[in-house]
Amino acid sequence: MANYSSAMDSALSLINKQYSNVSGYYDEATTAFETQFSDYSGNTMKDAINAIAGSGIYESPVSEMGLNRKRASLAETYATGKSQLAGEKLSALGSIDSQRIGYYQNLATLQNANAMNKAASNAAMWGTAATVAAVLV
Amino acid sequence: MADNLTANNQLKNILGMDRGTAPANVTTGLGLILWGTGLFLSNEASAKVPRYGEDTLPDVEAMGKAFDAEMEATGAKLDSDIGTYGTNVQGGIARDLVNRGLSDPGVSKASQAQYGQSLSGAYALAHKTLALAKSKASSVVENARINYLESVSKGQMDNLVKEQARKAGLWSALGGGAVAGIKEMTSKIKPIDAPATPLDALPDELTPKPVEGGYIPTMPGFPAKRWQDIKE
Repeated sequence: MANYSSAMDSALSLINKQYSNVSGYYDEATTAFETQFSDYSGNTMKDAINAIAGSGIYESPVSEMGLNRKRASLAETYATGKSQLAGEKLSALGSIDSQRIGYYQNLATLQNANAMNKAASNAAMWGTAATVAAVLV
Repeated sequence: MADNLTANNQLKNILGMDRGTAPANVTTGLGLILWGTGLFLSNEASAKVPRYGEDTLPDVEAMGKAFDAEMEATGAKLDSDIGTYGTNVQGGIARDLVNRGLSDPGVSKASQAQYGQSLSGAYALAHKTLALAKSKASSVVENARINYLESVSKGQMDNLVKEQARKAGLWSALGGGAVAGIKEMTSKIKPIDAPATPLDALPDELTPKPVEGGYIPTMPGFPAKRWQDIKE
């Protein structure tokens, strides 16, 4: 039976590399999102406060309602963005795990075929030896 | 007449050793022993086949658990991040009110409570999005696991069927060999109901024959004896 070990090892190391790459990509994407959202939320709230100040209600409690609406919108944007990133990460990891299970399925097939061939050759060896011995005797 | 076919002579008779035919039966027996030993050893050798998938099954099971743990960790991280963001915003609300001269605690409390409700809505939306992603990702992994387990089950069943067929062939071969061996040995056995006597082994010219008056000629000087008086 041909030696399949090196080819299978290469396949597994490639799959594992993809797995670690996904984690790295997720961390980079998360950092980029946090930075961009911080800038976006800061600009959004600044615009809202300027609008309130322009309306002359900057020091009035009623201005909190308008600002809270902006804050709620930003929170929704933040939570949706974070969950979408997490979902993309799980989707990529699931796809890679599916490939890895397929690898193990192929490996099981190769290992079983190899073991059956070895067992059959050992059995033939003993059977031939016994037959020859019986004939000689 | 005493039975001169002692137990030892009976055994020699069965094995044919008294007739000089021992080698064929002994070699036949040895041959059958070697053949049976070879069958046994070949069966042992062919039985050393590992169960299909036994090396890979633990790795696949570990992968499934690791992916479940990854999903749990991702959900917990999301909750933590949203919670930290919410805490930071509520702290900012309090500072902002002070900066704007709205130091009434009631205003601050009402504003933070209002923001807390909207934050809960954001949590719910995030969890819904993540749950959908978890469902899709886990179904992909589960399908792969199910395919793997089905292939393992089929492979193990195939190996089991082959093993049973081999054992059935082995026993039938051994049985056939045993029957052949027994036939070989029994074909050489002399019938026991016709025991040999010392007289049977004597050539005709030496076999005592009845003489007139029933006396057997003897050496000169010795009295003649009757045939009937000769004892074993």
